[in-house]
Amino acid sequence: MIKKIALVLMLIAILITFSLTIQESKEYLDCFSKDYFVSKTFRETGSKNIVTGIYLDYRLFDSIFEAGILLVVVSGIIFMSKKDEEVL
Amino acid sequence: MIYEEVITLKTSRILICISRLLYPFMLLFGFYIIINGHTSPGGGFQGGAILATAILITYFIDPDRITNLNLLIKIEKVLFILILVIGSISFFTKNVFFTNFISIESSTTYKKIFLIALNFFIGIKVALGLVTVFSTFIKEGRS
Amino acid sequence: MNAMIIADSLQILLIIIAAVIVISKDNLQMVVFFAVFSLVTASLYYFNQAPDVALAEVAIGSAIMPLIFIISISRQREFIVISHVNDEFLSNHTYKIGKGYELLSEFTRHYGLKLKIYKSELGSLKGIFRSRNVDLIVEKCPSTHRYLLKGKESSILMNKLEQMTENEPLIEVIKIREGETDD
Repeated sequence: MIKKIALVLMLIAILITFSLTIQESKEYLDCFSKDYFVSKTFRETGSKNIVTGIYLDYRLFDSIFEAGILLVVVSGIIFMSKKDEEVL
Repeated sequence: MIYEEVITLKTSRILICISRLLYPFMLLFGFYIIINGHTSPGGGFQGGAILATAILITYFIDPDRITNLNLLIKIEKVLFILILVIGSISFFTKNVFFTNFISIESSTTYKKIFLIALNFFIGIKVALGLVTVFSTFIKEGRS
Repeated sequence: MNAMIIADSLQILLIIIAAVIVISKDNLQMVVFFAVFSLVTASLYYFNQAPDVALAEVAIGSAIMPLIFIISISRQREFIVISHVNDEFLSNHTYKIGKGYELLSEFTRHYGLKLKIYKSELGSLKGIFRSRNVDLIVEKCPSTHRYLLKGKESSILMNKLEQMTENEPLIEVIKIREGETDD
């Protein structure tokens, strides 16, 4: 019973957060960085696809460590798939 | 019951024929998305996932295809170090880490080299990682 | 305006599919609905002008994840039983085969699984490292002297086991809901 009440409370909290986020995001839809990226991405990075221009040039730091996270996940899965006798 | 259905699904000849027919086209589509990541939608991660799906389909043709998992993860580590090195070259040319190492004033034709190289390495790395994940899953139940 | 109606109906469809995934009991059906969920999500991404995310969602959500699930379901090769019984109910010596062992081996041969029985005292700590994937626990009720076979309610194998043990007076099958027990 406690679990179900907690679940319903969690769903209500998520709903309120989402609706607040949608309301707030409408006010800031046309802000400074969007104009900057739309006008200058092709000249500064040479990429017609703005998404690629952002994640391979302006935010390369993030995407490199995203690749690192994938490496850590793969090695964790290999570690867990070994038998107990091989690990300990 | 459910278990019998799965076993017959794995040995079906129709599925093997269709996989053999589809496999080269899926590889081609994955490489197309990786190489054209800077002009059309897509990029390293998406193309790598499609390449991994293409290699996953070969398990229907021949289940014992990939045996050496240690080699795969070794190549993946080397590729990750290579990506780090390519990202850090800009420290020597521009004094800033993790941007394009070709200067801003040069033409866009030369700047594309950086994007294509990084997209390619990220794509191969993601494909190898996902292949390692599901080969581990396949090996797990076989012991 | 037309695209708005399509996107709204896709969102309603998404909610219905999510409810079906949560409710359904069949594993294979659940995996197929998971793939459909990813496809509908990808088309919604495309309607909202994000083709990059849609490509990643199609490749990972509707091809790789369901195939990993199907491989893991079809690769079940062992049926792990933990025994808390001390008499000959589960013994497999050549001169004296226990009643329960005979039944369980016939049951696992029907599905092509390998039967593995681990004997453990109540409260002992050995083997606690990987004891979460146990399929069946055998106990003896101290008051009525009946053998209790405890298994998960969500497993499809338990229904067949209940059918097979209908005529046995000494055996009782108990289905435990997931989350109530820890081993």
